[in-house]
Amino acid sequence: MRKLLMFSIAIMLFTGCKTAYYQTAKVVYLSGGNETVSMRSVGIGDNEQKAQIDAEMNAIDVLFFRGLPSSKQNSPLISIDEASAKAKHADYFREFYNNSRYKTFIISSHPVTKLEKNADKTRSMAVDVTVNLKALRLDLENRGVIRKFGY
Amino acid sequence: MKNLFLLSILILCTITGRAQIAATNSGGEVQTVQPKIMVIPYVKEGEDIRTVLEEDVNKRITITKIKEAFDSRGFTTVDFAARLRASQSNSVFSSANKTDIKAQFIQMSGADIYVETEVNVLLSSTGNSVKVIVTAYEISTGNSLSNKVGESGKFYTDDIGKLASKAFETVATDFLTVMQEKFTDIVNNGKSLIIEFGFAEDSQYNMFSEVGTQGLLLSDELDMWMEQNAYKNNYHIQGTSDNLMIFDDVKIPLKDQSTGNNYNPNKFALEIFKFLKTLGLEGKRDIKSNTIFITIK
Repeated sequence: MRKLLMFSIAIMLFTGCKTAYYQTAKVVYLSGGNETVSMRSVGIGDNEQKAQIDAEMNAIDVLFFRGLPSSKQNSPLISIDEASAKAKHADYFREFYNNSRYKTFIISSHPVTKLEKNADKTRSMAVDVTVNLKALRLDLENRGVIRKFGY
Repeated sequence: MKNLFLLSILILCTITGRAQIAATNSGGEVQTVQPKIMVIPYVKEGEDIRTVLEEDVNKRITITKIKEAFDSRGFTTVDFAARLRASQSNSVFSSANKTDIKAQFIQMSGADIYVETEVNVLLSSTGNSVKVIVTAYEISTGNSLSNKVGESGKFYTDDIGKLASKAFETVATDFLTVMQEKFTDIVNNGKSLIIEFGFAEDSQYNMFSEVGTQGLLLSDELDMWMEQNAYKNNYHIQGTSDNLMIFDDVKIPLKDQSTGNNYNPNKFALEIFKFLKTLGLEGKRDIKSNTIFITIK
């Protein structure tokens, strides 16, 4: 009985010590200008459709909160940190992602690999995504998520 | 009784008679006053800003490209060429000193920020290239807002204007992003003013005169007032002498923190003026853009 109790405590301690694990963004710049940007993004999902959606969301998240190195949008569109921006504008992001509004800013999205099994048993797929950057910035400005240029 | 009631209403209307006129009443909606931005060419010492643009189409192309970048972000700039023509017709430039003309022009333009652009053409047998240097300054304080150098890369073309456009396009987004970051800082932490306190020639006071009821030095009174009233307690004293005290960076908010209306240097100068009155001093105030000059009589 005592051993069982010790074992339970040990399991609880191990699970309690679990550190947050973040997926790498896996988004690289392909081409683009001031108005559009094309990226190769890797999405994870059980099937091709889910992986493609994940890749598209990853690409937009990188533009929002990280910036895309080598592109003209190398600094994030939303300059405040991700958690506070998502909390402050919860309605916007709920509609944007959950209602698939983000798709209206995607000009094209083409899978470039098949769904492949990874070492960690997840399945992933690379997708070339082109985003209408100008429209996305205007939308953020008009909905008050970021300020318009100027004071 | 009825007459008394009507009279009371009439008096009340007179006292609170600063109601907004119907024609301009926006129902309390306040739009933030935006800075005026002007794009100008870089001028070397001795060059005449009036002829620089007329003689060089590439500089005009670069300036237009920069203005286009501002337009694409929904921001209208002050047109340099139009202002230049207006100032020429108004005979603004009285001085024969050409280097002064740029300073005079910037002062009279009414712009808050100017973007200076320099076009550097590099010709070689392996192709031509253009470097564009763009720098944005706040006119009143000289604070730098954004600086970028754009390079076109080498091409076998004589179309220098096209290369200049290409050079600026490589840095346009970055340039505006850095500017916007500085604007955000101004929105959050206030904009900079320069405040100079001086004395009229026949004034009986100087900075070390004891004033007010506490008998403190005038310079100390001004410092304490600034400490209390600068936005977020953010101010810097450049220096104090017998006859001059300069605050080279005093932050004021963009919006009145109590009413939400736009706040400007004139309103801050009025507060200083009222404070001087409490010390028993008479003053004269002059305001030029974001610089306040207070002359104590």
